[in-house]
Amino acid sequence: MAQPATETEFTLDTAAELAAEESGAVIRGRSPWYLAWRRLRRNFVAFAFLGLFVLIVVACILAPLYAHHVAHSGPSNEHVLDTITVHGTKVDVVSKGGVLGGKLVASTPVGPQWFAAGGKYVLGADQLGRDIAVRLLYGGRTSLFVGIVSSLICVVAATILALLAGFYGGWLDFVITRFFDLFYAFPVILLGIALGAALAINGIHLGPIRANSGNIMIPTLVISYVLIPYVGRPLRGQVLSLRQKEFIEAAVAQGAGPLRIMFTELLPNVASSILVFFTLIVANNIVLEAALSFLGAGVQPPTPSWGTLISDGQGLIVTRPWFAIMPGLAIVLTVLALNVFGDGLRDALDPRAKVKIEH
Amino acid sequence: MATFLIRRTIGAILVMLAVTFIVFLIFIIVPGGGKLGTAQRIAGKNATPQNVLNIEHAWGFDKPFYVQYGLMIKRMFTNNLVSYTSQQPVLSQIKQGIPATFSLTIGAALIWVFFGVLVGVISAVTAGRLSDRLITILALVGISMPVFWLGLVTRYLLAEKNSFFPDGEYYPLTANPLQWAYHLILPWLVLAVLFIGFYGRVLRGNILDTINEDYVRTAKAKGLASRRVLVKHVLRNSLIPIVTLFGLDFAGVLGGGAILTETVFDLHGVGQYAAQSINNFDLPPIMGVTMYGAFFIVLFSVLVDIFYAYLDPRIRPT
Repeated sequence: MAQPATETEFTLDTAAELAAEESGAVIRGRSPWYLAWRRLRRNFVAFAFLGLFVLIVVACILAPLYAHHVAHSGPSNEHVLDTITVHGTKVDVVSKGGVLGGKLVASTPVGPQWFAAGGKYVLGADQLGRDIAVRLLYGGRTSLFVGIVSSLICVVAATILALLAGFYGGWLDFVITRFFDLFYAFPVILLGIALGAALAINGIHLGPIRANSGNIMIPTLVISYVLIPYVGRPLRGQVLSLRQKEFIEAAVAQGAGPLRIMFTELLPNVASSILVFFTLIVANNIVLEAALSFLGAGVQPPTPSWGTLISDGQGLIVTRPWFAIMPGLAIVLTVLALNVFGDGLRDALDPRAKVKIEH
Repeated sequence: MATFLIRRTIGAILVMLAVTFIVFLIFIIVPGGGKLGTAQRIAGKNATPQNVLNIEHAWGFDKPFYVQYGLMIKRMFTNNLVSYTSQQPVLSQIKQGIPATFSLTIGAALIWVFFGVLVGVISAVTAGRLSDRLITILALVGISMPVFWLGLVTRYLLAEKNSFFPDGEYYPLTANPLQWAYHLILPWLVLAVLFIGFYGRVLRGNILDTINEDYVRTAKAKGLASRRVLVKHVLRNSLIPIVTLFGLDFAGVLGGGAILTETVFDLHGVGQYAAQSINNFDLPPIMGVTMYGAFFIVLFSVLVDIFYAYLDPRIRPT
C-alpha cells in the first residue's frame, strides 16, 4: 500500500531554505493547506481549466446584458411572426410551413446567423422564434445553479451523516450505512427520474416543504438527494479510521464534547476530501441535471437549461444541428474544466494519491 | 459456504423489502398532495374526475398508509400494475423491452471492459509520456460528455447526415444476427465511451500502485520478462477492483441505467419505456421499472457475491 509521504519535497526554493537554515534563520512552519496550495500553484493545466470554468460562469451571469444590448430579446420572448434583416434581405424568423409546390414543408426556424443579423440569432432560433444564444446563456445560469446548489446540499448532508455515523458508531452507524447501501440498489439516473417525475406533476406538498411543479428547487433537491450515499459512504470510512487516532483520544481526555470533536477535530481532517468531492460532484450534477431535464424529469419548460435545450434541439437535429450541439458543448467544456481542476486539486491535497513513476 | 449463502439470501430479501418501501415513499408519500392529489398523479394527466376517484378507491388512498402500502405491493406482485394512460399492463411492456436492453448492455459491456483494460494498461505502462497524457485527456473528455448528447450527435453525423449506420431502432437477434449487430454498433460504442474512460483511469491508478509492491520487484529481480511480470503479476492484482466495479456497473446499466442511450437511439428497451412515460406524466410504468430494476440489481449483486465467495474463500465469513 501507499506509504505516508515522509520524504522531503524538493522545490525551487529548497536550496535557498537550506542556506537560510545553515545561517541560523528560523524556518517558518507551514500549514498543510499552504503546502497544498504550493503544489496546486505549479499545476498550470488545472489553473487553465479553472479559468475556463470561471469564464463560463461569468458569461452566464452576464446573460441579461447580452439579452438586452446584443440580442434585444429575453430568453422567453417568442418571435414566431417576426422577420430579421440579413444582408439587406428580410428573412422570417420561423419560416411558414404548409403545402409548397405539392409537398408538405415543415416550418423551420432560422439557423445560426453568427453576426450577419446584427447580434440577433447568433445561434439561430427555436420553433417559437426564441433566440438560442440568449437561451443558452440563461440555460447555463439554471444548469450551474442546479449543479452548484445541489452539490452544496449533498455534500453538507453527506458530511453530517458521515460524521454522525463515524463518530457515534453503534446502531446510528448501522442505520446510516444501511441507508447508504440501500440507495446503491437503484441506478442513480433511475432514482432521479422516479423522484423527478413524481414531483414534477403536482410539485411537492409535504408538511413544511412546499414547491410547485415548475420550481427549480425540485430538480435541485432531487439531484442533491440522489448522490448523498456516493459522498457519504467514502467519508464515513475516513471518519471511522480517524476516530481511532490518538488526537481524538486526547480530545476526549480533555473533556471535549461530541459536537466539538466532530466539528473541530474530525471535520478539518476530512475537509480536503470534501473539497475534492465537491468539485467532482458539481461536474457530475451538471451532467445529471442535463440528463433529467432531457428526459423531462428535471427542469420544466419554459425555463431553459442546457438539458432542456438539447431536448428542444433534438427535433431539429437534421435541419438545425447547431441547436442541439451548442448546449452539449457548453456542458462538455464546463464539466471537463471541473473534472481537470478537481483532479489537480486531489493531487495537490493528497500527495499520497500522486502517481509514482518508476522505470 | 451454506451459511454464507443463506445469510446473503436473507440479506437480499430484506433489501428488496426496503426497496419496495422506498418506491412507496417516492411515488406516494413524498410528493404529498392529499388523497386526491396522489390519485391524480397515478392516474396521469388526461384522466377524468371519475377515473381519479376510481383510482383513489382502488389504491386505497383514502385509507391509512399501511393499507396503501399493502395494496401497492399486492398490485405489483400480482401483475396488476397498469398504466392508466395507455391501459397496458406494465410488466408485459417491460418484458417486451428486455431483449433490446440486454443486447445493448451485454455488447456495450464487452466493449468497455476490453477497451477500458487496454487503455488503462497502455497509459500505465507509458506513464508520464505523451501517449499517457493523451489518453488521460481523452478519458477525461469521455467522462465529461453527457451520453445522450454524444448519442444524438453521433446519430446525426453517422446515421442521418451520412448513412454509415442504420438510423436507430432495434432489430431482433433471432430475425437476423448481422442486422442486429449492425443496428447496435453505434449505441454500444456510445454507451461504452464513459465507462472506457472511467475504467482506464481506475486501472491506471491500480497498476501504478501495484508496480511498487515487493512481490513485483522480486519477480523482476529473479529475471522474469517484464511482459510476463506485467500480465501475470501486476495485471492480475490490479484487475480485482475492476471486477467489483464491473459487477455493480453492469447490473446498474441492465437495471435501467441505459435509459438515455435507449431513448436517443430509439431502441424500445425497458429504459425507453420509462422515458416515454415521463413525457405523458404516466407514473405506474416508472414505478414498475424502478422497482423491478432495483430487484434485478439486488439479485445480481447476490450472484456476484456468491461468485466471489466461490473464487476467493477468504471473503466467505463476512
